[in-house]
Amino acid sequence: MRIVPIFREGNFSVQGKKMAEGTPRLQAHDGMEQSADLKRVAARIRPLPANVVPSEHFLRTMRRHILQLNGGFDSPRAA
Amino acid sequence: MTALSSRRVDSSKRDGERGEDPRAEERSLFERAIERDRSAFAELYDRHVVRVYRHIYYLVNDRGDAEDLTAQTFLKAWEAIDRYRERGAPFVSWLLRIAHNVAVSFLRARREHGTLEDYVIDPKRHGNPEEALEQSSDEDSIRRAILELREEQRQVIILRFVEELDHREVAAVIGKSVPAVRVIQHRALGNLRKLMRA
Repeated sequence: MRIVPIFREGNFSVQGKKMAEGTPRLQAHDGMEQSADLKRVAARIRPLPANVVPSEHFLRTMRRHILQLNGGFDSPRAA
Repeated sequence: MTALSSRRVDSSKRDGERGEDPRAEERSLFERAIERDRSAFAELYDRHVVRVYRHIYYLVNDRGDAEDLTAQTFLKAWEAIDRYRERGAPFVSWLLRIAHNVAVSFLRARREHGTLEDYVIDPKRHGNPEEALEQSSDEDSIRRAILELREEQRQVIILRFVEELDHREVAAVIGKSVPAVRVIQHRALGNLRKLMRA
C-alpha cells in the first residue's frame, strides 16, 4: 500500500475534518483496488447446489447405526 | 433437496420458532451424549449431518466418499465426545474440525496412491460437460487453496461462499461475533489470493 502526500486546496479527511496541506493520506485507489481484488477471489468460489445432500438411504441407515452404537460402526454404504 | 434432509436443515429454525434456547438445548444433548446416550447423539446427528456432509463433499468432490467420510466423522465424534468440552465454540464447529481432518487424511492417502480420482467430475453437479471441464480446473485450484487455510478461515470461507450463509449465520455456527467473522473473511480472502498466485 502506497502512502502519498496530497497537495490541494481544502484537503479534507475521510471524516470530513480539514487537514493541513501535505498531510500523508492513504491513497484511496489502493484500498479500492485491493477490495476489488478480494471480491474477484470470492467470486471464483462457486456455491454448492442445494441438492448436494446425503442420500435418504444413507441418512436412515446411519441413524439406525447410531442408535445401536457401542464401540464403532461400519459406513452405511458398506452395510 | 429431499424431504428428510430439508427437515434437518430447517431444524434450527424450528427451534427458534418454539422459543427455546438452541444453545442450551444443544448443551443438554451433548452432555447426555457424553454419558453415552445414543438417542441424544442421534439428535445431534440429525441437526448437523447435512452441514457436515456438504463440508466434506466440497473438499472431496464425490458423493459416495463424502457419505463414507461423514460416517467416519460421526464415529470419531462419538468416540471423542467425552473429551469435548464447550469452550465457547458451538458443537457443529467441533464436528466440522473433525470432518476437515478426516477429509484431509483421505485426500492425502488418495494422493499417495496416485489415483486420478481428484480429476473426476461429478456429472450430477455439472450439467454441461464442456462447462464442467472449464470450471473443474479453476474450482480444483480454489478448493486446494481453501484446504491450506487455517481452520477458522477455512470454515468461514466455506460457510460464506460455498454454503452461502450470511455473516450472522456464520457467526452463530462458529461462535464468533459478526464483526469478527468479517475480519476473518477479509484475511482469509487475502490469504487465498496469495495461495492462488503461488
